[in-house]
Amino acid sequence: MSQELAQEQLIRSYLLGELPESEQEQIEERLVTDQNPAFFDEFLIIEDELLDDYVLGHISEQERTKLETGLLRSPHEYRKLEFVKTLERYIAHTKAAPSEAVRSNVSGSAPSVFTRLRSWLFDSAPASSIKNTKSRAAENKANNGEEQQLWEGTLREAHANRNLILSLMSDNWLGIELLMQLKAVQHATLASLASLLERDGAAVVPALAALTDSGLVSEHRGEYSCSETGNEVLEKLQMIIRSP
Amino acid sequence: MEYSADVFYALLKWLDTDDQRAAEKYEAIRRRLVHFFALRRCSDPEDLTDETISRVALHASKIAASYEGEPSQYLYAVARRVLLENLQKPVHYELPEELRVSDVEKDDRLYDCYNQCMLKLTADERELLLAYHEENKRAKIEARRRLAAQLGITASALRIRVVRTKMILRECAENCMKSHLRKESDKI
Repeated sequence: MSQELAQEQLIRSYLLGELPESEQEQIEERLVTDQNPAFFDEFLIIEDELLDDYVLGHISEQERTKLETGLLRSPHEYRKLEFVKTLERYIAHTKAAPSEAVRSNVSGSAPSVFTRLRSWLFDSAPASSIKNTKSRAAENKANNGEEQQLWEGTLREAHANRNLILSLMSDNWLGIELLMQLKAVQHATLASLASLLERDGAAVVPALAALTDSGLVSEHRGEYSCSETGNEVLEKLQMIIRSP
Repeated sequence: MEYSADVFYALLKWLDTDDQRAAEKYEAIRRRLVHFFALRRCSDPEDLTDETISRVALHASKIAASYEGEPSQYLYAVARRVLLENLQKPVHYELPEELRVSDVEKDDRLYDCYNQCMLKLTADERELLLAYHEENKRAKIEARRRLAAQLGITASALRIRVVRTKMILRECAENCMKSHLRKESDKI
């Protein structure tokens, strides 16, 4: 057994309460005093994974009993377990969310509008401006600082626009739905948005985060609202949808 | 136990003569002591850690002059003493306030807090947590290996990155839960 595996096994045995008192104390002393952070980090990893395994039922009945009669009797550790459970619940919901969204979004007229929208979004400025700038840069071959800055600026802008588009499209266009709701209600908390859209909060989080990151939505003390850019984008979209 | 800023500064100086490194060492030792008391099933590890640090800080300037070795060894010895004293006290165990509310209510609150805190992570951190937590045990091992390779880091570095991200999330959710409780007690 490698040294690393042996250490991992030792920490696991400590956490399961399998070690005699003298060895327990040695582990604790190292935990507090070891100047190399590697041991403390390793300890945190094993502890975290053991709690994960407990929640997911990936440990034996014997180990489960040892944890319940030992480590988990610590209020602090018990609280950690609650967080692990909640995180697993969150992750399970988040993973389930996209398929639910696909199932629920089957309205007849929407696809044609969204298909048009998608083509407009992908044919819009960023891609073409990249192409133009690139060819211009190639023609000039100036390769001076100014040209380089212009090129980098355009790339940054294209990247930001791409993120903006993706944030609207994320989770089967949940981004647009959220933005429209926010425009309608002016400001809302995450919970109320999830409730308005009849979605689980965990499903809304990634889409809302993407909208916030791309500057379409602003957040202040847990309240979300449609930003100025968000309003401009929605107006533009409405114009496209209304156009013949 | 109260002590002055000078006393605290003496402790920091003992930990390291460089202010920045001293502050980092202080944070590290504090975190480790809290963990130590928590593993020993103490109901309030933070309080016992403060007690340990206070005792050492009050004598830090004297100890520093004569003590040979790492200050963390000294702090650990005092922590064990504080632990023994605590074990001798009559047990008055009270559940933390957030554990006293009904399970369903608490679960929902915690879940809402997680939602809010997820938004405070960066997109990369959120994706990392989701990608790391494959449900199937066999798939999980393979997925983690791939993930580490994609990020260009070792499996161990990936594991510690995930644990740290979860710690940030947990700390945020704990603060969020406390803030819920404060709001509720304000209403009463």
